[in-house]
Amino acid sequence: MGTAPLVELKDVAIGYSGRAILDRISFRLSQGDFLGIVGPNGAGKSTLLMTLLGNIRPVRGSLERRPGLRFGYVPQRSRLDPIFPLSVLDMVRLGGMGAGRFPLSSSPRRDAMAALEGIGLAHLASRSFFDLSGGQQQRVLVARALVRSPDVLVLDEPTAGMDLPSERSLLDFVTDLNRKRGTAVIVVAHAIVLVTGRAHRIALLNKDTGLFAVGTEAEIISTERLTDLYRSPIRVFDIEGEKVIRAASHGEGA
Amino acid sequence: MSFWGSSFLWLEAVIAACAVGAACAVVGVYTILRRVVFLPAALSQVSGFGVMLACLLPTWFASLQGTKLSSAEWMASGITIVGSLLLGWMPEPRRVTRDAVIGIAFVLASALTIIISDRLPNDVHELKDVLFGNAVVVEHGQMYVAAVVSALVLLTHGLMHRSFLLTSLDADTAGAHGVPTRLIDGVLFLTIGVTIGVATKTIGALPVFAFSVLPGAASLMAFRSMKAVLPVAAVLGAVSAFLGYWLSFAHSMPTGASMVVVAALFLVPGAMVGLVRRRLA
Repeated sequence: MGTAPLVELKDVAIGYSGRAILDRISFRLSQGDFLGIVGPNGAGKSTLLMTLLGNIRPVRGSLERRPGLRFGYVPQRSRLDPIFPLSVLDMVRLGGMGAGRFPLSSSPRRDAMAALEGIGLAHLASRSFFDLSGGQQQRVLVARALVRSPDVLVLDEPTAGMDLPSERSLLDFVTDLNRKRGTAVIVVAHAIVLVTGRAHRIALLNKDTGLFAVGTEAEIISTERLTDLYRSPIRVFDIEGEKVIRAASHGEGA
Repeated sequence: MSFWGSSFLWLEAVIAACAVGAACAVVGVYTILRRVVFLPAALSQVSGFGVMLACLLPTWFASLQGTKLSSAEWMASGITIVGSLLLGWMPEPRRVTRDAVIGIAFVLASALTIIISDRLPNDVHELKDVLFGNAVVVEHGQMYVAAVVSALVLLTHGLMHRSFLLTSLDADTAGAHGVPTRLIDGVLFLTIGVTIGVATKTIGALPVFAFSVLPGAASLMAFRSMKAVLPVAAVLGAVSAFLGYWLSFAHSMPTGASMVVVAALFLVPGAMVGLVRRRLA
């Protein structure tokens, strides 16, 4: 894009308690970017994400964020405990809390309602958040992240437990947001098909094989790399310029 | 003598009990939501251990006699705050659950309290008060301490309830949005420690645990918004303390246990309101 990066990682090692689980991670994220972070379960995706968001420190290397950068984070829905008494509006208003605002205050009601209108769920504002369907909950969490007008929208496994139409609808909404508003987007997923055709660049990682690679879809998707990523035979076909990914049986080999 | 006619006997005790009942109920909402419901029980034992330690230390070190370290209130409050921060604020242990650590603190503090009390035969009466509750008589000074501390805790929760809510519900998002989660969690567990320490000294361990669980549970069953849950829990805590005291006075029942029973009765309307609300939704 030619602009100063929003986030830049140079030779970063990620991990916990000073112990690196994955090393030599370098990439930058600029305004308008759409980055997919893909890896199997337990690959280190969440650790990378928490490092990017500033919730944990890199073990080594340099991680720079543009001063005043605002993240809008959409967590995995399953990590929210349903015993919390929250209406949809309450949930969205919580999104306004953060740096730059005194932590005691939340978003004004009108901003939260506007965010809900943006995702077409304003009519559910007074409903209990945990009474909504999984797809509706996920959209509310996106509204919560958007209420603070973020520079980077980060979605962690956003379509887990959703049916196909809801999944497509959510990803279309995020893709539109990226294209029309220029909001940088990071989507973390274990299935690569969630980000192909949408992300400008894809990062593949697996701490067990030490794999970290980032590039465009054309650069990054190959039979060898995906087989290494998932540690299971994957075949990639090029059909009329479009990459088709298929899990092969072990007998087929890679 | 009628209940109201003898108010000079109970007024200070009831004011103190209502104040700590409300404060315990509000902090108790968070111990329920964060699934550390036995934290107040463990902290009450830790507080009792603090009282016993305050009695024991001057017998070991004569220079401590008459100092703050030999004051039961100071020692109990200090140790309870440290216990609250350690048990609630610490990162989730990897090998055992947080509940297990709270259980360990509970039994260890209980055992140490009993061992120390065994060495202090003259103070056994105070130990019984701490462990089983004695809200019948509250000293003038203790009433002020209970009222002021409870007011400060309620004020803090009134001002910071959204911060406490977000960090309790979703610490990752709070952190990603730049909220100082460790600091806010620290303030939350500080208020829990202070409340339980002062309340245990005021009304005893059993009613403190009851007020930390039952009003919050009743309110959470009835309402689906923190804007309703917190004030209703506070009112239920205070009302339970008052009605429990009245029941105890009118029917010559143990005061702490009466408060517990009244608080438990509020679970029934709590469940019914919740049921009706779900039906109407």
